[in-house]
Order: sequence, then structure tokens, then C-alpha cells
Amino acid sequence: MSESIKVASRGMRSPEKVMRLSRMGSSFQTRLSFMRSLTRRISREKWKFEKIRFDVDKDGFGVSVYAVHTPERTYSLITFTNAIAPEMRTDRVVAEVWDATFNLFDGVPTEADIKRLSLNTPKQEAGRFSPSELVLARANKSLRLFEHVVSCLSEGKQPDVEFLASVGYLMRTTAVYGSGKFGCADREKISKRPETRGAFQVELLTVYLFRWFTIELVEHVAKLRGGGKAVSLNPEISKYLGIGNATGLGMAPFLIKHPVLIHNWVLARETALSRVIALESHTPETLSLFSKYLQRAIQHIAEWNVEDQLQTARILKTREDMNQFSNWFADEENLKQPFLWQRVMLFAESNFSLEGQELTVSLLLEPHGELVDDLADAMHTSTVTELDPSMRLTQLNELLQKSFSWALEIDFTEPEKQRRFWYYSEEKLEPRFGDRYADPGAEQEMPLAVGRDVYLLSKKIKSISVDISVGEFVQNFPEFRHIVRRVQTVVRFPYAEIRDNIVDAEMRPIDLLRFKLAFFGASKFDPKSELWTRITMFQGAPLPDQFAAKESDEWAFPVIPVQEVG
Amino acid sequence: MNSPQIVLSFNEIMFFFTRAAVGAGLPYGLAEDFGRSSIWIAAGGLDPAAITANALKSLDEAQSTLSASQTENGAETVLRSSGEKQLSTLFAGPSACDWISAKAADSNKNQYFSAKHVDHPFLLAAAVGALNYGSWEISWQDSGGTLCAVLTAQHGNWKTSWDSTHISLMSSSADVTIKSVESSLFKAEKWKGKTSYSEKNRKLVLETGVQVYEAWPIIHSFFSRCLVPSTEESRKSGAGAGLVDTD
Repeated sequence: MSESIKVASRGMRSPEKVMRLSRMGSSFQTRLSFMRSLTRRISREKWKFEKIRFDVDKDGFGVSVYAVHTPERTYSLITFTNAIAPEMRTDRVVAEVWDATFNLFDGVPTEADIKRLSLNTPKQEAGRFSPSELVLARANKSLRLFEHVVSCLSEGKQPDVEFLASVGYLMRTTAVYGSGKFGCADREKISKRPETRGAFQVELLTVYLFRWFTIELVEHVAKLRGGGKAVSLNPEISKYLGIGNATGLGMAPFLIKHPVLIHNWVLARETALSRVIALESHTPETLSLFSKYLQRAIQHIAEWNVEDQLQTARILKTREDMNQFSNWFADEENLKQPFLWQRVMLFAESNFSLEGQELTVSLLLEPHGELVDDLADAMHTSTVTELDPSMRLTQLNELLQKSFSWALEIDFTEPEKQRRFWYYSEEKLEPRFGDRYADPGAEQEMPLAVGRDVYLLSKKIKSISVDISVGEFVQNFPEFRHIVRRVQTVVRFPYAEIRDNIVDAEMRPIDLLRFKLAFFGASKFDPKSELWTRITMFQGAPLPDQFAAKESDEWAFPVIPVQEVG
Repeated sequence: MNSPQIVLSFNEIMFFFTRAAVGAGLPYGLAEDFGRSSIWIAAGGLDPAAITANALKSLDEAQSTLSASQTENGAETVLRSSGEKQLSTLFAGPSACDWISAKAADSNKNQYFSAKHVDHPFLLAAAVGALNYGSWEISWQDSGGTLCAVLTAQHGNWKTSWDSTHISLMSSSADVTIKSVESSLFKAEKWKGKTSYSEKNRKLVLETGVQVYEAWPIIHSFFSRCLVPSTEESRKSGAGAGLVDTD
């Protein structure tokens, strides 16, 4: 076994509780989220940032190269910005042009590299890339905000922060591809490097560098427009600007296809929570930090506004939860007794919505960096699913009964229990979520319906009267090889499976997206349908020249900066 | 040599080749094994499309079968096709790997595995190599009567009994034998000077990508069978449908 088995221990929330879609769809970023661990590393290792090239015209179009020097290596963001027709600007995978297209390059690119990429990067999925490129991505402007900021800065004024807060970013990415997509470097190439070993670190480094670029871009255009009158963005406003992202169904299959990785993510978070609630006493420092974050979270939630009615209702309830929490916390009697953090969690579980509970988890981890930050180093894996052919069928059946009761309890003979199916469209391989009884293509279904496949496997095992080996079973019934391999592997990893039916008629893919994006460190979830959401990344995070500040790791729950008058 | 039609990453090999196998008629679990075998081939610096395309075609054209029976006869375990057709290596490979995995704890190293009438013997070696489980010799006679063998060892090392990096794509089937060998055999006189592949090849390919030549359209054509044609309706129901930037 290449990876040690770590199971949920006493004091941890159970997989039955945590791995349900409704709770997963209520997730918040934590200090273990990947953006947070990236900025901590940048700060700790004192990464150096360098603008190597900025050949951009007065309208903001051109080529730029921004580099980051880590202790051992340099990575470069190569960005191409172009003029595009407004009607061509769409966030969908099927788009063909974007305001900005970019790569994260392994090292410093030569002129030949930039020339090669200039012919491919703007074409995105239609281009081809090499293992020198670690990431391929693109972004579109928030036209309203970009123009507003350019206009204000060129006239020597700061942008209106309320307006700025209503969007939160100058540009939003619509796809960020890594791990060997379109010829880019495989994860294996970088998986042993300390700075890129963690999950999604190169993808998020790309986004981080791009955020820096967008701020410099808007200042550049404003300067050329306003001349001597123009000013730079106030550093606090710059810091508040994140990068938007539109995320659709592409992320959902990832969660199903990487069960051990997902286990490690959740295990880290749940271990962190269990460490915190096991503390019998608290220090004045942690209490003070917690109080500070609670107040900031209350303001953050108050500033989180979306059009989606369901999410709006959930935000309103979370605001109520946090106000209730604030009152509870203001009662000194509650703070005097031992096991404060455990009582906080119990209070949340007894009184709050799922979003309120998950926000509480995030808050509890926040002041306890020294206790939990080491767990971020275990949120990756090299484990793949493996078949154990020597196991007896009776043993396999016992595993199913023990670990997959959630699936065996679903009656998949009911048509609504498998109304949905996941497939790849021939159009740019866009993942889609079909209706089995209305849409074509169910026979090309992706093998993601774990619950249903487990149900069918159990039924097949029951039909076999002799206790044969699993090897013999899958030889006779090769259609079960895939699910048997998965079952045999994931039973060792209790947080690996989503314990819900992802092909149910009522299934909401948005829950999967939020879960994954929260682990990335995203905030301000803004669902646009059940199939996709907008988010903000790195909002509040220090910019490259702001890491010297003592509190550079304290950027959770960003709030609107106070605008100076005059 | 011609320019490659495409240069792929390992991740893309797994994605396209696994689904190509599904497109050719393989159940998904076996297709995953095929994807892993294809990566093993690619990691040796070889063109996985050229080496695997015919196996997919044989299955698709029903020249080969996935139907087989396995029996134990003393030290020998025999896998043979259930009918007249040749046995698809896409089935025989995973079966051999399962036999190896199941026998891992067995102290009797004299046991061996025979797969009869296998359509593309080298792919059976690829399956065993991808398993990366101990040292094994996979051997068969080619259509000219020459004994071919592949020696797989741990850490991605392997050798072929023939001298060039050309992998013979046999036009007729063969009986393949798989037996456990001591890891020291890798350095023995018999295998000295033979074409050798190692972890270095894999690292090199990670830096350069996998060059895929003329057979790529065949793989892509099988892969495409797994895609669902787009319709106006499905486009409308996709994520982000109808969105034009307004923020």
C-alpha cells in the first residue's frame, strides 16, 4: 500500500454526515484551502515577483510575461490580451475568443516559446501545448467594472468601492486547465516539487499571477488615457479585487473520478476540526482572533449578495445564524467553561443551517494555524484504484454492506432515481448533464453513477450461489470490473465517496461545484443555475508587494475597504 | 520519419485511449487497464497508437473475443478463448494481471500463466508491465517461428529480446506464457545488450510528450464513439447557456 490508511477517529464528524450533497453544497473556504496554503508558502519562502515583459498598448492589448521566483525554480505567466466583439464574449466552454488567454510556463520563456504560444494560446482548446506549459487558461473582463476603474483612475480618482464590491474582480477566468490537458505538462512532472506538490497549486498560482496582471493592466490603460492626471489603485482596493471565475460541470466528474484525493481533502479538514474541538482550554490570543474573524465573517456575509433566490434565502439564514452566534459569544458565561470550541460546534449544530454550521467550521480553524496548518501538506495523493482478485465474493459483499449502505438503500428500479446521466458532448468535449428519458446519448454515459453501480453489483453478487474469488467474478462479468476496483480501494478511505445519488432527478450539480471550489479557497458563490456558478478567488489576498505585512495570512472573509473621503 | 500527428500527455493517453477502448466495445473497467497499458508503452518512448490500434480494430471487427475460460492444470493456469475466435489481448492482459496479483503471496514460483491464441501478444506484456509487480518474462513465438520475449522488472524497467525499438505487430495470434523470474535475470548474460527501457525513458517523455503518428485517427475515431452529438436542446441545457457578459 503506497499510502498510509488514515481513518476517521473519535471526535471527528462521520462520513455519513459530511459527505452528503446538501452539506457539501454548503461548504466554505478554510485556512487549509489551497489558495490559503499557496499564499502562506509565498510568504514563508519569500517568493520574488518580477515583471519581465509588458508590451501592451493603450487599449490594454498585447503580450506580457510575469514571473515568480521560488527558492528552487521560476514560473512565468505569459498573457495575451486581445480585442473581442462584445457578442462573442461568453463564459461557456464552447466560446472561441476571450479577452485574455494565458499559460503558466515552467521557467522563463524564450522569444521562440512566446512566438509558439502566440499561435496556440489564444485558440485555447484548439491549440496544442508542450510539457513546458503547466497551465492553460483564459478570462473575460467584467466590462462594467474594468471601464469604471480605468475611467476613475485616469481622472485621478479611486473607483467607487460599493460598485467595485458588487462585482469583485476585473476579469474572471472561464477555464483553467492543468494536468496534461491539450498537451500541457502532466501532473507527474511537478508532483514531487515542494512548491507544486499540493493539490491545484500551479493552477492557483496561475490565477494569483493573473490577478496581479489585471490590476497592473487596468492601471496601465488608465495611465495612458489620463496622462499626468492618472493615479494608481489604492493598495487596499487592489487587495480587495479578486479574480472571478465561472465554473460549470467540468469540475463535477473530477470529484467522482478522484475518490482518494477527495478523502484526503476532507480528512485534513475534519482532522483539523477535531484537533480544535479537543482543546480543553483556549488562550486570550485565540479568543481574540476568533472574535475578530467572527465579526469579519458577519460583515462578509452581509456583503454577499446574489440574484439566485435559493442562495439568497440561504445567505439570509446564515446572517441570522451569525447574529445568533455573535450573541452567544458575547455572553461571558459561555466563554468561561472548558472546551469552548467544542461547545461552539455543538451550538452551531443545534441551531444553525448547514451553511451556518460549515461557516462555523471555517471560523474555528481560522485562529488555530499552528495547530492545523501542517495538515495542508497531506491533501494530495498518488494512490490509484486497484483490484484485489484474491478477495472472496462474500468478503466483497460484506464491504458493500458495511461501507455502501447509503447506496444499497436507494431503489434504483424507480425511474426518477436514475433520471440524470453525465456525458461528454462532441462539442469541445464539454461535460453535460442529460435527462436519460428525454435526451439522446444515455448509452454513452460516463461511469460516474457510483451508487447505482454498487446497487447493481450487489444484486449480481446475490444471484451467485458459490463463493468464488473476485478475480473469477470480474472475469465472468467484466462489466463490474470498474466498480469492484473502486469499492475495494475506497473502503480504506472513508471520506472518499459522495454518499448520495448523483443521477437522481433532484440532484444539483452546483453542490459538487461549491464543495470543490471551497476547497480551492473560493468565496462569494454566485449560482447562476443548478449547473454553474460564479465565484471570486483571492479576494483580500495580499498582492506581491504586500507579503511583508505581518498579517498577510489573515485574508479570510474579505470585506469592503473603507473609502477615503475627498 | 514523418512528423507526429499529435503530441500527447500521459493524462491525454489515459483519457483518449480508455475511451477509445470503450468505443471499440470494452467494458469500462477493462478499458481503464488498456489506458494504463497504453501509458506504459508511451513511457517507453513508443507510439501507443501504432501498437494498440490493431487490437481495438480486431475487437471492433469481431475477429477477437472477450469470452474466455480459465483453468488450472498443475503449475499451469491456462486462459483460452471460449470459441473459435482469437482471444483479445484486451481481456487476456487484465486476466494475467489478476493472476499475478492473486499469486503474489504464493511461495510456489514455478507456477506460470498461459494465454492461448492471443491476438496481440505484446499488449499482454504491456499489461503486465503496467501492473509494475515483480519481475516477469512474457514470451511467445512470432509468425516466423522466432521466440519473442519481454522481461519486465519493477520501477518501470523492461527489456525486449529483439534488438530494435520496433514492436512487431503480428498478423496472426500466438500462445503467450508468463512466468515469474528472479530480478537478477535483468542483468544476466541472456539479456545483456538487449533493448532496454527504464525510468529515464519515462522522465524524458514527461519533458517532451508522447509522439503519436499515423494510427492516431484510428484511436480518435474509436474515442469519438463515446461522445454525444450536440443538439440545440442539449446546448441550451449546458452550463452557462445563453450567457453574455453583463457584469
